[in-house]
Amino acid sequence: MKINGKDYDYEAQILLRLLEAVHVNCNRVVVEVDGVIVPKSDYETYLVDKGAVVEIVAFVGGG
Amino acid sequence: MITQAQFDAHLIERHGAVMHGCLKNATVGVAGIGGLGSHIALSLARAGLGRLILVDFDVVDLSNINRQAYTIKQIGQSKVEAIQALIRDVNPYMDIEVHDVRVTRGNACEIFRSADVVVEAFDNPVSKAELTEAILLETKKPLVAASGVAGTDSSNLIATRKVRHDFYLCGDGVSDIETLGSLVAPRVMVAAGHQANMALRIILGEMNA
Repeated sequence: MKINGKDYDYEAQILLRLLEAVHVNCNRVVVEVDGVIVPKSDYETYLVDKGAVVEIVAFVGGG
Repeated sequence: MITQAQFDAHLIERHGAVMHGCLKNATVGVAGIGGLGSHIALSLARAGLGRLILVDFDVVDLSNINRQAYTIKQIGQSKVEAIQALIRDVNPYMDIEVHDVRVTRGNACEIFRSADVVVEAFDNPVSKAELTEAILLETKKPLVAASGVAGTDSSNLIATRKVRHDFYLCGDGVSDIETLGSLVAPRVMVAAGHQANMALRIILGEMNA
């Protein structure tokens, strides 16, 4: 699995578990899997394949 | 009083008729007109953008003056009212649509329906993520968001990154108000400049970050 350009040896898993594994706050992120934005309402059910390309944009506060 | 013909003639002399026409016919939506959004709106007005959609539910407060474009005299005014007064002083002929509401997942797409580009300029990271998801999922519009503008680290760390074909992200990505505490006008304005320039580039068909 590739996350933000880096290779990881994760098995296929539910997106919410994956976000916990990489220590991001799921309320502050936008996630793209294989080129498609995954809605937050699907995080608990969306299965990320072992070979998926994942892009996680984590926002920080201030503006 | 500068007439609209004089105002346009000056911008055409500066930018050329083609670029001026592109900007004048374009609409940019700005979600949040605080530290980032107030400077984004003003700089796009100066550049001769034709139309802005500005959204914020907040009023000008003393705690805004350190980094937002507003003045002491404007404390207590709604931000949508205050920004219009500032814009009118630099571009009297721009078309400005304002919404004095909180932008949500539910109303964002309708509010920005006529925008060519949407700029995310909130301070709250949860709101940033929600708006980004809504615009990318529910519209085909390009979005220019910001993350990592707090503190006083080097301006050179603030960059514009093209995350995907319809999504640009400006900032250093890490400088968080929750851990750093401070937000200063110069650094916020660097990021606002990145966002405004990216919006302008998209309008001109220059799609690289």
